[in-house]
Amino acid sequence: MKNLLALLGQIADKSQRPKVTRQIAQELGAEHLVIFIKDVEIDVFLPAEGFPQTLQDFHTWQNFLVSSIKKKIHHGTLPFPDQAANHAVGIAYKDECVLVLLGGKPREQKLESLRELLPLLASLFKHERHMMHSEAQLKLTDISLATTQEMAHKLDTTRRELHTIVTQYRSIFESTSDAIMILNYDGHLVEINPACYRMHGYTYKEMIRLRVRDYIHPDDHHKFMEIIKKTKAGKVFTISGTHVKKDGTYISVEVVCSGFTYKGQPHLLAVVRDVSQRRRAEEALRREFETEQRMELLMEQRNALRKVNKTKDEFIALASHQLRTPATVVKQYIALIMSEFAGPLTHDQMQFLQIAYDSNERELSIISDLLKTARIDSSRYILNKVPRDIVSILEESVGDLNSMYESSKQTVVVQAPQESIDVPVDPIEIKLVFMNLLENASKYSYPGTEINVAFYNRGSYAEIVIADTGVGVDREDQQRIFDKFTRVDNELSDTVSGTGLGLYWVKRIVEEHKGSVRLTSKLGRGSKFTVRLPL
Amino acid sequence: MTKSILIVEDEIMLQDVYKLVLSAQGYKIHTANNGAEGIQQLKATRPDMVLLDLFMPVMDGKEFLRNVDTSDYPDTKFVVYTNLSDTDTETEMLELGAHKFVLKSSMTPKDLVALVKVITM
Repeated sequence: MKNLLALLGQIADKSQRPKVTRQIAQELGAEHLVIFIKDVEIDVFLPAEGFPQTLQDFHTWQNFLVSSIKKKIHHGTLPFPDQAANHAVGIAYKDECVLVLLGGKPREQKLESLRELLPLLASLFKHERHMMHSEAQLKLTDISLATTQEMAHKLDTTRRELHTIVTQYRSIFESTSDAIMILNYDGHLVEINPACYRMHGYTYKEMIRLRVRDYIHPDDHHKFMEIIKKTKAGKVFTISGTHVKKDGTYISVEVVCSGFTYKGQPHLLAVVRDVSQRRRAEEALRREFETEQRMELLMEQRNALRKVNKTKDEFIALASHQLRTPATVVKQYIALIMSEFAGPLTHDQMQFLQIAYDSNERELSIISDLLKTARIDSSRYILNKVPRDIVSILEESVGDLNSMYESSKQTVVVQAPQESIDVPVDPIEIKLVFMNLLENASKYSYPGTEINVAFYNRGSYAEIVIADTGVGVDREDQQRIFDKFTRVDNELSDTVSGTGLGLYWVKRIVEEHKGSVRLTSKLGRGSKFTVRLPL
Repeated sequence: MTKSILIVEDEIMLQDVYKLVLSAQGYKIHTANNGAEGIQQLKATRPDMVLLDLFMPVMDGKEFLRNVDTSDYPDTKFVVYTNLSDTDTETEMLELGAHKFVLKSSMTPKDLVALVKVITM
């Protein structure tokens, strides 16, 4: 007994266990000893730690052990590596522990004393087993903790990565300047980005509620219907159109549409770009191009006109010769006859010839007038200005028309300041102006009347006034008389010869001098022509 | 001494009346129908006066004066006798050596005679 206890005491030491258990077995009269502890989780008897773990014929052993539990003590035969020791005695403690003695001939007395020690043994091995389980479980827990931690870490990382990606995509969505619209096929807006509602002048809340007709130009509504069809068919394409902003203004847009799955359902994705600026730039370019084209056209026209003008000037030169030649010939021969070069003439012959001569002279005069007008109108008309004493030109003109005044019994009075001043003029052309005005004054005045000519120095300009007390000009006609070939009907006009060009020349020449000519007149009272020439 | 006049004019009817009137005044008249003939006649006759028309075929009056150095003919008065009334041409012709520029449609035969007398004085 004492020995047994001592041995049992040593059994706790796992390293000694195999030796000690053999000693215990022999002390009890057997060869081998195996202690079984029930594993509660799997409801199977397993050898305790330190005892042989692999035993043949699992079921046989289990049955034996179960029988041992039932009977408390059980005898049987068990397969064992040491074949000589297959006679087994199983002694059970409760239903937790079975001690199996194998081989030899265990004495009953010894078995009884063993039975008293069984609770201790059972407790020891149970505890051992329990510790093993706990350790295993702890290890498992550790492992699973580590795994969980790792997984949690991975999950966290993944979540963060996902968050980053989502944030990135979200920020693209939020910050892109292209308007992004997601519509369902009912035409409702499901999602819009800031660019979209800003582009249309709405807040998010305002726009998300809109239907297609609210923001698309009426002319483009049919396009939207086409889009629905086309994108449902799975195509991606671009169209141009016009959208309407909240304030009613239009924006030119380019829209790229495609169908895509959003939240599991087919939706329409539209990316809208405001191309108003681009359109405006295109417009501007087109207008520039048009302007360039127009300029080119204008240049062409100008060149054509230049050609025409050149042709006209050449025509004038040629015409002055061609038109005048026959008339010159007639003039020479009539004059020759009238000079009685070819013999004496009768009175009648002289008279008739005179008429013919006068008519021919009139023709030559008309031709001259026409040519003068053509020259004044031509681009080649240039003044050769020199400073001249205007008053002397006036007096010269008056002198030239002396015979005319005499025959009409008209007097001319010239008023001028003591000091003569020079005015920059083309002397020939200015003389023509004065001649015309003075002639008109005489032609349209009655015999015995006075014609006044006055010169004033007005500081920045010279003023020449030629006034008569003749028939005057009606208000209606006052503007017309400066027109080409215009002659006004009045009492004296039938008696006056002329082509109606005189005042046209006056106006053109004075204006070419950067001056002005004005008519003040009252019908029946007379006319006053005021010419101003810059100094 | 008999004064001579060269009439350079393509219009025959005018040529005739000038010739008629001036030869009646005792001038020796030579005629040319264009500028080229005119130069030949000028060289050959060395007249006291040339009545030079401007618009002529073959060579016109302008070309005539351009091709003639009037200083080679110190005793000859070149008178442009034309129907072209153009101040630019007038200036040009005077610069080329013309003595006078006359509009022939403003002249009667009598006027011509007076002009010639004055110039060839």
